[in-house]
Amino acid sequence: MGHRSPFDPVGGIVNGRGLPAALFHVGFWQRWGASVLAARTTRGTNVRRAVLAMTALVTLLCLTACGEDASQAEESGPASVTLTFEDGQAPAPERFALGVGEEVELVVKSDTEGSLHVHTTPEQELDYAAGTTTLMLTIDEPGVVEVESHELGTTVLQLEVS
Amino acid sequence: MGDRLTLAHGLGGPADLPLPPELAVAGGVAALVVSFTVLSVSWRAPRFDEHRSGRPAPAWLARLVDAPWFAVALRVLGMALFGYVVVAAVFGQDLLTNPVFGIFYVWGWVGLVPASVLLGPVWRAISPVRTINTLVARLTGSDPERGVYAYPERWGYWPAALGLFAFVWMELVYPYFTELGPVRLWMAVYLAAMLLGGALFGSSFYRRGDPFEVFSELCAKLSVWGRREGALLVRSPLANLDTTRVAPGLVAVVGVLLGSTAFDSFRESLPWIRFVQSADQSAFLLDTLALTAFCAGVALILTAGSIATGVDTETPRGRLPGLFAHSVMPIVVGYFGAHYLNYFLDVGWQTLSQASDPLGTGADLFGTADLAPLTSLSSQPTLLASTKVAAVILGHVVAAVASHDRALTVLPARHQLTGQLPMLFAMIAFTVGGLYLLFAA
Repeated sequence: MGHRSPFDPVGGIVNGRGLPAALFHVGFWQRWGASVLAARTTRGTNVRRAVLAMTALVTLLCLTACGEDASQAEESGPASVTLTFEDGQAPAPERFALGVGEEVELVVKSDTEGSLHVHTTPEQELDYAAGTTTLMLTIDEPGVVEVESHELGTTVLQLEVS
Repeated sequence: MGDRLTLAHGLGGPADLPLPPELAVAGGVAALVVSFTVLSVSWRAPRFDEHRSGRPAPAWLARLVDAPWFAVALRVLGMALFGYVVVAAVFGQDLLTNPVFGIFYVWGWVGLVPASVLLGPVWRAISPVRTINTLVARLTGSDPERGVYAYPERWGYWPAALGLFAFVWMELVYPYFTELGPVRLWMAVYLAAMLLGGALFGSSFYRRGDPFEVFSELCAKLSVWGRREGALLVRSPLANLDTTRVAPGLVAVVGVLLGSTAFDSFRESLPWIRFVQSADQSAFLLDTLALTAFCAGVALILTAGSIATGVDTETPRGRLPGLFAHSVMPIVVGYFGAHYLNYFLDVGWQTLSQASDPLGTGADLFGTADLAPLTSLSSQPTLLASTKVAAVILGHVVAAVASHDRALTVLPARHQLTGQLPMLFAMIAFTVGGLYLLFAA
């Protein structure tokens, strides 16, 4: 056999030598195929394989039966979210689905002034006064953007932008 | 920031979108099918022999890598990076634009995985603590390999497991992880602990005690590079994985690596955020407990999956978890890749442009200060989601094959097939759990 350069992918795979064969384990695939075709079957082996196949089937069925439907609630109409801050309590965070470049209206009802941090790149800061303030927000990149209250340090909203 | 602790990312902007449900279910089903296929149709005698696997690397490559100047150049590179990080950490500004955070959390931690899988155990080659230990030893005329004592074998990888837990705790739980003071402190304590260990036990301490070196070495077991009697080899990642050295604490290391990545996905989910923000206990305590629970849970599932089998008198049951721990590493690497790929590309690129200005003076040392942001995978969510599922499933395939081969070596003949089922279910639990976390994030 002549000397082959290790960087001869086709030759290496064909001859089962060299760097590509080491990486792709040609011999392994050959022997795997041969073992599948020439599997010796005794009764014991057959029973074991049947048991394994049944276990696989049952587990598969359980998994698909238990699969949940994840329903993403789509808001119809203009996109608007209301956040209420009262007595230093932040609202419990919700996740809101939004389109890329779609404008969302954040209606902030608060008894004190404060600001919201929006974790986009770069981070945005939206200030609000006491009372009811309407802030407009647009996000240009897909992802899950967290909006948190600067004063309380808690997440108040998650925007799932896709 | 107020008294209540924030759970949002410190570095990087938006988080990844959750996986579409069809993709997650398809991934779970694929994992099941792969596992049972591997079990029922694959080989019956162990294939990987560490004394014979692999082929010698090309001569020019072996010459290059074994050349003394190459080793010295890598050490100089490591020390230069270390010096840069020290200068930026000590004299730089305490702002998010300081490149130290990106280098520490992204290039160093996340970047260690692809670097090791592609190039082998990189941390060992560039580790600044090894270099400092060697220099100090040379200056004082002693042998850097030997310390005052011999490293106690029963400690195994436990120091590295503790170090890794300390790192992930700081990254995922500690609320001030993007402030310069805590990062400096962590690095100083790490340096002190490593140099002390090196002085006490010699440089052999680093193979088991340096968290980054152990992490890098375990990931490098999935590369194609190996060594036997000093010669550089090329061998299949599966054969390489089989040569992982088993020592006490390996299960803990794997548990921390997988558990921390799983917790990172979990803590971004809305139910957890709601629970923590409405609970009376501090977020700090709850997050620490949850992180510990995830790491311990992974270790427990691995232990249960490996010991729930019949054994003979030759293999004590207590040794089995350590013998199978290496087969969970592909799942770790696959899940790490799925979770951090977009983060690595986005924040890593940002760090490249921040690196030109370490002291916040407006300098442009490397000409990268005005790099345009990368049009990354975030703008292609379907591609990103498919890549994530592919990475997780690939990790599962390699893991299933590796554990199958190890079972053939350690389990007695009559338990070889049925004894693998608990481990198979443990791996399915990891993979399906991982996909669920990516779906529910």
